[in-house]
Amino acid sequence: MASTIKRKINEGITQVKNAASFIITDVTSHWSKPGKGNYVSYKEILNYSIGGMGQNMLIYLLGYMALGVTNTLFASTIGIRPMHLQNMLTVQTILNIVFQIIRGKIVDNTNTRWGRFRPYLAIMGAPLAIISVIFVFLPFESMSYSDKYTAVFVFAIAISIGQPLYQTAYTNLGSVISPSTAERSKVLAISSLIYSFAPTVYQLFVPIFSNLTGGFTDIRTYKFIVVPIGIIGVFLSFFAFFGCKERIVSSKHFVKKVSIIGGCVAVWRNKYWWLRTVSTWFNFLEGAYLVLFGWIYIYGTQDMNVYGILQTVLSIASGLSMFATPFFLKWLGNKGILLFHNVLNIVFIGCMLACYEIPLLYFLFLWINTFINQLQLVYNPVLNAEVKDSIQWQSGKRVDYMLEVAALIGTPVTILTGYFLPYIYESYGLTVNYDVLYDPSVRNSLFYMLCALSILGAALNLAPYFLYNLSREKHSMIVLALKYRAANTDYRTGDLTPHQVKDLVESYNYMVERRDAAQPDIKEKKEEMKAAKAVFKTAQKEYEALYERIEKDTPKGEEVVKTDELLALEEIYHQQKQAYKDARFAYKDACKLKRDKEAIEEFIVPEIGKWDTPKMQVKLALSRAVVAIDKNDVVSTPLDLSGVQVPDLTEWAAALAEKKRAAKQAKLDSRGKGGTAPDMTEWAQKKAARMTKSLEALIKRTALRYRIMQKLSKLFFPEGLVCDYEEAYRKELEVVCTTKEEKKAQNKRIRAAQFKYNRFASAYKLYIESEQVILDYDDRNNFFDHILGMYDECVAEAARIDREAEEKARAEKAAKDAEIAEIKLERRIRKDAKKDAKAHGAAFDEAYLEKFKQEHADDYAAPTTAADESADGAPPCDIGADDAPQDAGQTSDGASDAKKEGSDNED
Amino acid sequence: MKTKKLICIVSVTVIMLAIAATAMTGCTTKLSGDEAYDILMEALDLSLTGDMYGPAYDPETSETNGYIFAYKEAVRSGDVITNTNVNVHCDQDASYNLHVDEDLMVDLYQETWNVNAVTGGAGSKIGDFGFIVGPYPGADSNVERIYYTENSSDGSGKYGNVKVYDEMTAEDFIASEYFRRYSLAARLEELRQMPRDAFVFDEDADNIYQQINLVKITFKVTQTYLDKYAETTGRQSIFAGSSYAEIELTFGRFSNIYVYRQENLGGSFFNLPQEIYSLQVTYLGKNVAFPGGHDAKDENENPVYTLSDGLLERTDLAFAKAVV
Repeated sequence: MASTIKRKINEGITQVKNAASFIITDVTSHWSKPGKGNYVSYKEILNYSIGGMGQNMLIYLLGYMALGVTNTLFASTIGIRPMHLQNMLTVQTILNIVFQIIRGKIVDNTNTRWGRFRPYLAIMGAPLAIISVIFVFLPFESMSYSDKYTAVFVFAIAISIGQPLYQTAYTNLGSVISPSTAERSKVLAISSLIYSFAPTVYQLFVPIFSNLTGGFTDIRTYKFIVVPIGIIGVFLSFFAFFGCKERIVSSKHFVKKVSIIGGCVAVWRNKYWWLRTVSTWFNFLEGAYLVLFGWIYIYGTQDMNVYGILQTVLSIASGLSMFATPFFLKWLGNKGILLFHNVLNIVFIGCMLACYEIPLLYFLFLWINTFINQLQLVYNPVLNAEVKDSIQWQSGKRVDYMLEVAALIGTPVTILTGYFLPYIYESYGLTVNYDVLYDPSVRNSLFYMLCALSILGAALNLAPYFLYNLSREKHSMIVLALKYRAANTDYRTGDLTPHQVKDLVESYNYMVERRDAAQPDIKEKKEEMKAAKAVFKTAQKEYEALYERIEKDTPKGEEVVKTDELLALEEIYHQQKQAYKDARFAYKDACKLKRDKEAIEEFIVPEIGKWDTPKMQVKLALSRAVVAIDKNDVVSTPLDLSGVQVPDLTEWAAALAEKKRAAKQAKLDSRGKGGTAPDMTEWAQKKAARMTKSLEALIKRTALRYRIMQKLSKLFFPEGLVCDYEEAYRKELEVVCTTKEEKKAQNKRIRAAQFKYNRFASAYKLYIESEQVILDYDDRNNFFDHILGMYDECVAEAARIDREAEEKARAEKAAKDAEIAEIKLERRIRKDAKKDAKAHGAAFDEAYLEKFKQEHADDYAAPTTAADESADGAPPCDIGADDAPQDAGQTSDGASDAKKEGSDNED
Repeated sequence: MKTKKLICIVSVTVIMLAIAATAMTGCTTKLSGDEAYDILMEALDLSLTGDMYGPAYDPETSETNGYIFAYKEAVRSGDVITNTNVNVHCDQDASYNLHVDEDLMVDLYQETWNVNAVTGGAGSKIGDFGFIVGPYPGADSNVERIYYTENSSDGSGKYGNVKVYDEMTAEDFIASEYFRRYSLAARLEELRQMPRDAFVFDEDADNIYQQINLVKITFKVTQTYLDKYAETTGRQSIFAGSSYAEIELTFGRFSNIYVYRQENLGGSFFNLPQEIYSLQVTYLGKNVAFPGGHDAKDENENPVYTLSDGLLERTDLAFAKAVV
């Protein structure tokens, strides 16, 4: 037994060594250039992580300015009553509806050269930090209650206006840093692990240093400890701004405007968004227990040193959890991880409830629960990004910030539920004076109630996720559908790249392969796997029993000699192990194939055949009717929709009924219950009737929208359209400025062009949409007619580009290496010259150095390196020789030539 | 089908939240004036059963041995604001049992401020004083000491920077006449003596209610009572000049009292009620720590705190300034 453990430990150590070696190689070889099939280099991940540290640090400062009854700065330090804080929070929530809409509109229509989110990371940090600094340095000790109340209200509202822009810019950047879910979750996991270092440090030291400034109830702690952390954070967040890229899967063509209502409706039509949003409505309950840890140490043990240390230990749980999330995601899948997280929340909060009177045991369960809870830090952005892709597939609109605007639908729920915890606090004696928490009888009653409410909240949180079924397979098919859509457009606009073609065609081929693959019987595969496992376990037992028997007979210190019988058993053991692995893989693949087929049926088939649906046919006819009128004639020409008819849906309904019946039959067959699926004709007819009504409504709505367009165009453009406003705006965006003055003037021109374009886009919204529908229709077959055939050519072209990029990188590296070698050599010569001067009792100066160089030129001849040769093919430089500067110059010229060539290529 | 399920989930959620809100409201019971008065009197008695200066103190039955409480009081009288913090504290074990006979400590601190002419809040500090009483930390741990510090900024020179100590147990200090005026019983004395007819309850408004463990009572005080109080005691009532007052009782004991005066602070938007008196009570306060540098020495190696026999006899100390 002991030897088995030893053997397994050795195996484990080897595996760890291999993994470490793989990680080091992977990081060093993909430091500046991402690996094959990836988009993000490790350097970019590091920049994103350091930016995350900064964001985290500023948010830590801003967290103390967030309205809420548990806010120690506002409640305990400044002395604002919890109910007054809750009232302010209600006002803030209502105001937030307006600000959220404005923010959503701004972000979703942001289209700068730096992307959509990064600009907000750069411009929002400093103002937020300045507002916070001004606030904590206000003379609260000499202010009346009403002055304090007003100050808290004004500053908290001011911060709440800007903070979401800054905060979500970083998280949204994470969701568009890569279009691949797997890579995105990897990037988020690594970055979370790195940026969690910042909270690990400040959560340890802030409580400890707070002892010097009077603890968390003394304003000096905020002035001299918390504020500097936030200011450092502002600077660090620039790493994410300068060192990251946004990669949204959409056409490279100009980004169309997303209206507030259009964006919100697109979001509200998405089932997955609803399930995630409804679940968050119960967070107010689930999070009730979070204050208890602080209260136990601030009011219970009153030991701030232990509190600081435990907070650090707690933040380790967060880091580990973030690191582990990709593994959990891979193991459990999307729905699995949601259920796993919420079920374990219930279990561990239950454990906390049972032992809240024993601080260290409570902390142990809190630690485990935090580990489980923090999984969402990584999986939430991953799942949110998937939901955004799903919305984009469904509606054709890329909504990012609008997701949060759409969430405003839950504002009444948030306001209502916001009063629940203050109500509980008050009911248990925590009204104004937080000192009551020093009294264990009051504190413990409140603890008990808050833990119980948290369990209830976790249970309610869990419920919606039973319906969540956006699997990884579904998401990859959504991404494929989006790539297909984008490529169709990019082919027309000429923006298609060889890599894009290669990637898309390969994804398409994989999809076709999966679609056409025969579906094995999953139950049968499962039985086969179980049988293989049983055989493997028996072989393992036999092998281990014999091994241990031989080991027993072997004298201590000697190696176990493998007999023929043992070798034979070992071979059988390995064979059975492989057989079990194969059977398990076959079972998992059968399950995955089923999910793949379902996903293809749900997303790819409708995408390819969408123009055959009655809805799209009517939409196309309406669009043609609108576009038939010239833009400048819109005001004077009425829309003629007499040719647009709702098609006869009898055949469509019959096909739908048959499809549905077949699906039901397949489901029954797969369950092995037998029976015949019911006739779905009636259901399909009802659906057809609803469709007819909806199409009639669409025609009426288009007529109404046309009339609105007439009025708006008359109002905004009384003299008609004088140019292509979209093109004009785009041209202004593309202008490159070199001086500050130029930039200033250009920004003014951009704003003016944007204003005109916004007017045009809002007045001619219907016209633009109609043009887009026709373009999409015309582009529909680009993939099959042109792009598929370009594959071989594009693969070769992509390989050429990659090769050139690699060569360029290699040349740059070689030039850099040569430069470093030259500097090192110069330093060595200087050092030796100094020694020489000392030995000869001479004074060391530049003249002495030159003389020394000339005398010892041969000793310091640089060896030939591959780097030198590959850089420019020049011989190694010879310091001290008459032509040395020239040679050195050649080397550096060669490097600069390589660089120049590289930049030419880039251009 | 899936859409229907989703609609069901959303509906159930909204209904559950509505039920939760209704239940929340249902947990609040309105009280009549008489009921509120009776509950208040019972709570005052219960709060003082452990106070040796209280009316129903019984050393045999008192769980806290007659000592443990903490309060924060703020009194605004004319152009002076006085804040008083008193904390009579002892250690507790892992099961939250109080160990009154061991390590009993008292922390008493009072500061006086001028009212800021512009903001109406606290302006410049006039002076402060504080007592810390308890076992002397360090080698000679059996000795208990009373430390007294006082700082004055009123410029009169009468109360300078005083740092003195005396040997005295916390029990002796609590039993002294000087502490008596800072006892919880002294703070609640006026309320305890108030007759039913001194209170004016607005029974139509929703401001007298019981909410699970909290009872909140809002009331006004009659002018007759205020006049009578001034006449019989020679002092002003804490309710003098008030518009209304709020009392909070939790777990059947007295918790907070706030006395308000409506003040126009420049425009109706900022017309918030101004607190003229507040008292916040808990039945175990923060841990008490000895003052930093209690055993420190000055540049001549003389202790900063000097021995002062009969410290409590120094009637010229800040007690005279206390606003009770």
